[in-house]
Amino acid sequence: MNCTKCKTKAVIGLPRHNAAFCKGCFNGFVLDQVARAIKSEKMFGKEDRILVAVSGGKDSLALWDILLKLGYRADGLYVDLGIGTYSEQSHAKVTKFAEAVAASHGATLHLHTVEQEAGAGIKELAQLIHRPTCSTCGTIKRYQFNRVAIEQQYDVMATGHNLDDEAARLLGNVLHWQEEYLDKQGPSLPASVKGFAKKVKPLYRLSERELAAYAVLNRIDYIVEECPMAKGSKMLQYKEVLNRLETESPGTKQTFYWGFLDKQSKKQPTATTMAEKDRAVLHPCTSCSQPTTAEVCSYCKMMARAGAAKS
Amino acid sequence: MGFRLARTLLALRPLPRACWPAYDAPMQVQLSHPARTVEVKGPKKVKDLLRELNLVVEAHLVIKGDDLVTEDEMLYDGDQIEVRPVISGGN
Repeated sequence: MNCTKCKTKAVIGLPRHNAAFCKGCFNGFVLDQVARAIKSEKMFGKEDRILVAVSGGKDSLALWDILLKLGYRADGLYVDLGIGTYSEQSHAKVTKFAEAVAASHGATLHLHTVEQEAGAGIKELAQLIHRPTCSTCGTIKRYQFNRVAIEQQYDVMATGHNLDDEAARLLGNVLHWQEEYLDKQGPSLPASVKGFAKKVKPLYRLSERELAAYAVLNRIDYIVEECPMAKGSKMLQYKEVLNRLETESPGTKQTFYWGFLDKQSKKQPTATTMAEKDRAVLHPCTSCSQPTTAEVCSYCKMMARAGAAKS
Repeated sequence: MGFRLARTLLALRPLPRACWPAYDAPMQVQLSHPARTVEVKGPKKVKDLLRELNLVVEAHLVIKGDDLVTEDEMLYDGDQIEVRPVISGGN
């Protein structure tokens, strides 16, 4: 198989684009896809300060690497969830990347340790409050990323969600007809109210396989091991189904998610209405001041329940 | 002199990989989730290896030594192969 662009030996085939690329042309393709996502969704500009949520996995480290290569001012934030050796290994991968790659671009790494603030790791917290680990983890990560972005005055917060993540989430929402979540499935969510940082997903045009290939080709040392808490999760099941469809019919995932985005953009000017909707229902949490629909936000409620269960 | 040198060099050139005698050792294929190594008899194309292991192309990368290889690449006995899953995420 030869590279579609330069005709040298290809290292990866991309059936959904009916193309194959050598290392150089593939890197060009990846950077171009991210640049197109940033521009088309008006995510941020060269002067903006970006906070990248890094986990030690391929997507977030690739995102940090790509943004720095594209010349953006991007710092990282790692949330140590306290999942035994998995967290130790992922923390080591993030630190290694920050020192070996990001530091040379003048970028820094922030660290938040769940155990330090909550007095327990994610697994123990989930058990204390009787909630699934992945949902507890999601609440904590969203809260802490937003808190650091606001406190450190970043203009935007970027996550490594890719095409597979978004297509799987869309499938889950559609299967359960969770229409209220569909509005928030776009790759760029505005800072709708005071206390909320703008959130963007610059990798939504790239598949998980393409991002893993980018990491391997560019010698980005990431944690290959799956999070032990995610075993058997619904998201993994949806991804498996979508990948079987994709193998039989290349382009299925992008048609599904991009088609949804296209329909959403024609339906309504989402940025305005979403901001209006948020302003109507969100107000500061009485405990921490982060925006919430309730009197006390879900993070503070969770911490209070965990504290009560421990004592 | 030049002709004799050229003829010697021609005789010494390596044969195409397909003409090599089969190794006794099959290819070693490293898999994840759970981590294990399996032996597979070559020669075999990457896509056929994945099919034999009942793995989906879209969810895996195949790495030979340090290099990424495409689905039509031929793998041989003695090769060190890693089949790396690319799917992640719980929430």
